[in-house]
Amino acid sequence: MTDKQVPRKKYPPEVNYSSVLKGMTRVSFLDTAFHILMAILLITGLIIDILGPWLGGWLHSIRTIAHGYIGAIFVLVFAAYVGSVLGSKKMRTVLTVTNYVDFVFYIILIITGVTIASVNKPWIDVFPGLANTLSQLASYAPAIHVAITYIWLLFSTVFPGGMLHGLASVYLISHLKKRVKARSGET
Amino acid sequence: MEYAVLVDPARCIACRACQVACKRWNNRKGENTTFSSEWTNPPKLTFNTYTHIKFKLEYNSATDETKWRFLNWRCMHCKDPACAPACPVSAITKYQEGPVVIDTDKCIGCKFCISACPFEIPQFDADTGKVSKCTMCFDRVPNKEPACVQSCPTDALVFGPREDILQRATKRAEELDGHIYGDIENKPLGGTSFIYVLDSDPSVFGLPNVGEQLPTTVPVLKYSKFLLVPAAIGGLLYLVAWRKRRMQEKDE
Repeated sequence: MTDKQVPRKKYPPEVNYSSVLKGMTRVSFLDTAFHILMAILLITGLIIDILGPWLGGWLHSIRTIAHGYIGAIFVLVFAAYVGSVLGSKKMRTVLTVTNYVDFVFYIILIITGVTIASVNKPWIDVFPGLANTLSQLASYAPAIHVAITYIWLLFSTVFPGGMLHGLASVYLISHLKKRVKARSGET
Repeated sequence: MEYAVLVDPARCIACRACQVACKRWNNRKGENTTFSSEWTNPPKLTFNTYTHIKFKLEYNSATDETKWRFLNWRCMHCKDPACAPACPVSAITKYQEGPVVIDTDKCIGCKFCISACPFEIPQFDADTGKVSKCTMCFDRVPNKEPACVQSCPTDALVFGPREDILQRATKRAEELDGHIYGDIENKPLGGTSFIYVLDSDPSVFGLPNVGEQLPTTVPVLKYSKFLLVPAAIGGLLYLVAWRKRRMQEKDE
């Protein structure tokens, strides 16, 4: 009878962006997809709003694909994500006050985003009921969409668990990466 | 100098020469349409239809009579257009002469202008992902009148310097005992470059009641990005404090 061979684990473990992403995906694919899509939408939205006057037509594909189609995918992922959170029996510690408020912001951004997309409705002809419901909001939707994005950014920066949480994670990962590199250099 | 077009629906015979002339001058594609319940064809403005004739049936309950009303409908070319400041890529220009023009090369199809326009004029095209509307033939004005005006056989459309058009509109309104929409009586968004003389209330023709000022949503859209300043300052302060705390922990 031979001993079971167990591969030795490296210590400290190697930490980089791809290993963190793999870990996140292993824990919750929906969570990872949700955050990545959200980041893409936020960045592309900011690029359009802030750099728009200078970049002009160059932003057409960013607006159409990265903000438009990915926005549509995000709506589906968001619905699945919320379903998975609500369906989970475990009490999620991540649901802090900041997360609850963020959740409200996401809902507003999704409703206004869909409303903007439905104006002049080439695709929404398939859903006439939805178009009629959203048409009341059409003239306010862009202003609410843009203003809520900036309010959300401000809120996330000022309150814990928001934007700075993300930035701190990025900093921490690069710090650990450097440390691991330095240690492996020593040995 | 500012120019304007006088629209006199009482003279319109719905021949739709203006629609055809507009398509020809702007090189817009024809559309496959079907006969609609609104009688007009095409039924509404589209990406390729910059101008069209609206058909309205006016019913007079006192005399139990109905009367056809024809209205040339396209962009109003407002003095203070709501669409231009709403555009995040500055693709919409208001010219001194009057036209409000969308630069389709710059347009990213965000549809903010569609939402901002109280007349629901700009039209989105799913194939190109762009928005378009009447240009008031800015490539002809002021040397030549817009194509729709040139083609009108009954002078239901008249082009000229704004002051002259206003005088003409006042005189015609007296003749008709009617209303002026676009300036003097109703000044949507500070006045428009297409001025209507109507022998009935504007609502009979389906003209919306629009305020003289820009809607409040436009400044919100334009200035909300300044919320980034306190966010950036807050973030910076947080990072400085965090770094300081880490340094202290390291020293200890």
